[in-house]
Amino acid sequence: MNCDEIQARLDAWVDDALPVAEAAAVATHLRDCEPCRAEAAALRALVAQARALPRSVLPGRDLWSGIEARLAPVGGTIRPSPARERPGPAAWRPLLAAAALGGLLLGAALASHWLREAPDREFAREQARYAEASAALSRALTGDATGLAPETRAVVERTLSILDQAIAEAEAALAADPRNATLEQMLLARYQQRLDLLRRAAAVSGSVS
Amino acid sequence: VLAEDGGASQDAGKAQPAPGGDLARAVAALPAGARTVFVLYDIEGYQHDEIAQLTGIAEGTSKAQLHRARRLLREAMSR
Repeated sequence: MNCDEIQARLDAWVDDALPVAEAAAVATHLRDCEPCRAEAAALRALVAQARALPRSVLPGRDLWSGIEARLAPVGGTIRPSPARERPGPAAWRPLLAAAALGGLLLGAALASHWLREAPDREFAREQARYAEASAALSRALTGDATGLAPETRAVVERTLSILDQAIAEAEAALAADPRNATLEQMLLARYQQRLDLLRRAAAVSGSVS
Repeated sequence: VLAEDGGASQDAGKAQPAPGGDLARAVAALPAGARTVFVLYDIEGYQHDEIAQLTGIAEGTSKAQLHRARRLLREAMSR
């Protein structure tokens, strides 16, 4: 590989995402090429610095595990039941579209919160956008042809109810203390959890991989 | 937020200067697409397929945006 080919692979190399053979080729090149080695070192330093930054308010990765366990059959792993192996993708399309939209908006909002405290108007705008996405999700879930087995749907709805209560409490707290950035972050995190639940429920239904 | 990126979202190809070499400030000055992917991947720890699912962009676009973000950040941090 020449230097251009190496440079094009440095991101993946730093992330340990290259196939073994390519990673070996990059390592060999770096041993003999000082400029590329310096590039790799600088990239590694940047990534290490970024990964040392505090994570934002995105829900922890283990959040889903509890919900997933509740959705899974007793003693088994999550697997679409015969009745929902083909859940009718059309029924989920609006849900997934809304989830994607909500994820985008919430991702942007959460990133914004990591970068700086969002002014009130920004938070209010994100909150309104969430409400719009959430309404679309709720409409999709209230239909009969969601593709979810009745028992799974019941669990999802119960979990949504719990999250809705948490959201209501956070909204009430924020109403009493409207400039509290921590409460804003907590509320956005609850929004994200709700959207994640719906997205994961769609995945469990077998309509997405 | 993405919609509030203003001049940065127009992506003139350069991140804004990072006073004091502050990575957080340099991240804040990234174009919206690059910033979102960088935060989700390098800070939050999401993978490209997850970012694609979360944001609706293609996985390849996520990789390209990450590359772009890291390049812009290195330029900004080296000033």
